[in-house]
Amino acid sequence: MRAGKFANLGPIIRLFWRERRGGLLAGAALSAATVLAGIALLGVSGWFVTAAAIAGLTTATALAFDVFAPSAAIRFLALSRTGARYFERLQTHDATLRVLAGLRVSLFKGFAAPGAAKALGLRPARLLFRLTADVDALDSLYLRVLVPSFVAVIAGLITIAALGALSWTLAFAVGAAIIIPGLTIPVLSARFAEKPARRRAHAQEALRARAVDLVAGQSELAFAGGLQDQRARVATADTREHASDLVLNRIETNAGFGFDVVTALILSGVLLAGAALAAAGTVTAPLAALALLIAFAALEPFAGLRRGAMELGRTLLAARRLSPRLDAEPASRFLPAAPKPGNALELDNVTMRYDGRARAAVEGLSLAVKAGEKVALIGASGAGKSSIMSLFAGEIAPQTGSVAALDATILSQRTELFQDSLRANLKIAAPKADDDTMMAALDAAGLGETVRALPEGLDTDLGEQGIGLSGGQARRLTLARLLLRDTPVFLLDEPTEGLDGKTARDVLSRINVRAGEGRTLLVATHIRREAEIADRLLVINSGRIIAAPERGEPGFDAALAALRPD
Amino acid sequence: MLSSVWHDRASGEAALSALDKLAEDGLPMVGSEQAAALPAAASTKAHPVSVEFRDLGFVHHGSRDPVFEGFNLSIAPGEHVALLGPSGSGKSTLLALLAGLAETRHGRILIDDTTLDDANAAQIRTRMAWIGQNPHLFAGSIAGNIRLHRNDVSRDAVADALRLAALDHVAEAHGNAMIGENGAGLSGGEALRLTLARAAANRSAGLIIADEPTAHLDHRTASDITEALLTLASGRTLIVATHDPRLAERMDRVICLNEDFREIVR
Repeated sequence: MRAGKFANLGPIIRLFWRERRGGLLAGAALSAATVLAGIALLGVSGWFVTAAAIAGLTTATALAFDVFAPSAAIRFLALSRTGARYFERLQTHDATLRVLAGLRVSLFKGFAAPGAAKALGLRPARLLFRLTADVDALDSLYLRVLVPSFVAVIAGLITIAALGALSWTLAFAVGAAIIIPGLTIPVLSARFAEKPARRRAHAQEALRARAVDLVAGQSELAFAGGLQDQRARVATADTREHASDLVLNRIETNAGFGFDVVTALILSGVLLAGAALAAAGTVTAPLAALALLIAFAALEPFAGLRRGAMELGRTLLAARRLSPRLDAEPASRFLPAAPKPGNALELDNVTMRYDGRARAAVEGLSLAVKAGEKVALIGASGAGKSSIMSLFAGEIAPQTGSVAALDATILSQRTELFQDSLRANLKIAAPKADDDTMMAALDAAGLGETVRALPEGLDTDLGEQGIGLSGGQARRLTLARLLLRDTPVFLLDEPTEGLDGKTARDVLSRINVRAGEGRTLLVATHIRREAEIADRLLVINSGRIIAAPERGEPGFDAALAALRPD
Repeated sequence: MLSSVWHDRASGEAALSALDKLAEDGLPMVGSEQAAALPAAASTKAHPVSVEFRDLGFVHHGSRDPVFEGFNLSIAPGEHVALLGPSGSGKSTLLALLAGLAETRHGRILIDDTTLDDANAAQIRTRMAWIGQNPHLFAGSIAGNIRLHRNDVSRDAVADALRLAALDHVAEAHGNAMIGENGAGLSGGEALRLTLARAAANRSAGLIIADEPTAHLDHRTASDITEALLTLASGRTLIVATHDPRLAERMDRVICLNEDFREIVR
């Protein structure tokens, strides 16, 4: 394990520190208190039992023996250990979960940066997996690596100090015997486990992606004669995960075995040394028993490092993937500038190329849309209409040139509805809207009657992608969202795609009514009915404007006539 | 220690019940257990295939209302047929049954006078090409998406297929760049061209099945796709389900599936 791998932990640890330093430190302190109380409990008990047994040999010593102070100490230690353990669990988990919740927020902000969303859309299964599994893997860093290491070292030092009161030689010998193997075993396990842990994470990811391909691409695979092959690929990923699991289990078992052997050796060593010291009269028998049990208890926190060591490889992988998203954030943010007064949208000599594409999607394009104007971008699919919309919406940044736009809302080709109530689906557009405002927007979108007729009204749950609504109703719902946003510019990307003519015209006329109130409208379309609401057409071909007829000019009707009727 | 056992037990139980739900029975695919022996005929020229539905019956899972009952239809080798009908009339279902993607309740489907069954479906499918409505695109390059791990599809075949689907420029622009799951990075028209190319790459296919290939496309792209489809289908049998009257009028025969009677009205 090279030091470079740990460099990625930096941003993660900084984030933990920034988010909840108090809670995390309190958790570590409670954890240390728990372990120390445990060590003291075992030591005092050993001393007490032995001392009491020896004192009981004669009546005189038995009567003189103070039973109360040690038993009170034992009770106190037992109770405080239990209490500390309870609050330690509460505190460490609470702090970790809160930090991870904060981490998700900053990750989502990172993914909300322009371009990142496109990458996310390219591999949804993979990114979903990373957002969930990788973030979860990070909880191991604090809970199972940092805290146990801290506690183990403290326990080791306290043991040395406690035994030092008896004999410094014994103290350092026991300290070395505990700390050296106690740290070596976890470090070795972490080293051996790193590769299999990483392989396991990759295999899990492959298993999911391949299983999704098998299910979603069933027909394609069946016709390509590839069903069996794809099954084999799924099985291969599963076998790989299984094999890494076996390796990890073996390493963990070996680590456990190592700890057991070390414990046994230390115990017998301390027993022999204690007996020798007691025989020489350097220490009393009860103190020898105390030393024995302290040494026994001190090794326990080291054994707690085992699980963290096994998961370290996975944690490092998660840190490597997530760290870049945490640090690089607001700098890369691209937002369209404010346009000149009187204009709503402007492109000035803009060239935009998608990553990895040879040809620019938009090339040297300049255009201006006046405030309140209604314009349609028309052209064949792939001409660059959607790219222009994305530029104005701030979803992608241009390579050269400048983009300016007033505050705009985009109604994209795809209807994105969430598996939640109707109300929650509307609140995405306007988090503070009350029911009356939402119903007004639904009425304006032509969905008010439908929603009122539902027994649960706005509380009706939608399935994913709006299952339970027809295509037209789903589109109307996204229209209601657009109206709730109430921005001066509406960007509409094929707003009535997939709707029948009657519904489409109704939706369009409702949009037009709203836009009539001084709003700017930019529609990207290849359907005649959608372009008809515009006063100016921009004909796009290969990312360039090849014609721009206005209503009333001869080219206008000709351009409309070339579009798909319905 | 015991607390983590309890933890693991709870997540194990949750996993088991999720698996149980997954294992609930779905619709079986005909011949899904059969490995399709790589067609020896892969490089040989396709010959048009005849299709016959005989006394076909089919009911959707969990439904009582049959989609087909005693349905008969025969299509000659090389014939180009359009299936017309309102949504829900069973056009897509008929295509799925023909491809063995779903099992018939009764009746037979004969392809080149061979009854489609579990034993031969995988083999027969290698002689079909499918152009679906919502194609699944795999994460990978465009060429990889056309080849689909078919070892018998040569580099030339991919290039020809790209040209036929007029996707060669897009593929060039993309290079080896990934297209995402569900075709992110491609426009709707490009995704459809890609499935067309996928079908064209199977040179031994004698039967082309297309499910609404021109839906959701602009005028020009739709007519490009129609031409490409007809080029691809020359010398092959073509069955296409569609709403598009322009596509339908280019076929040899138009069959209307009537929702109420579920029989053919010509």
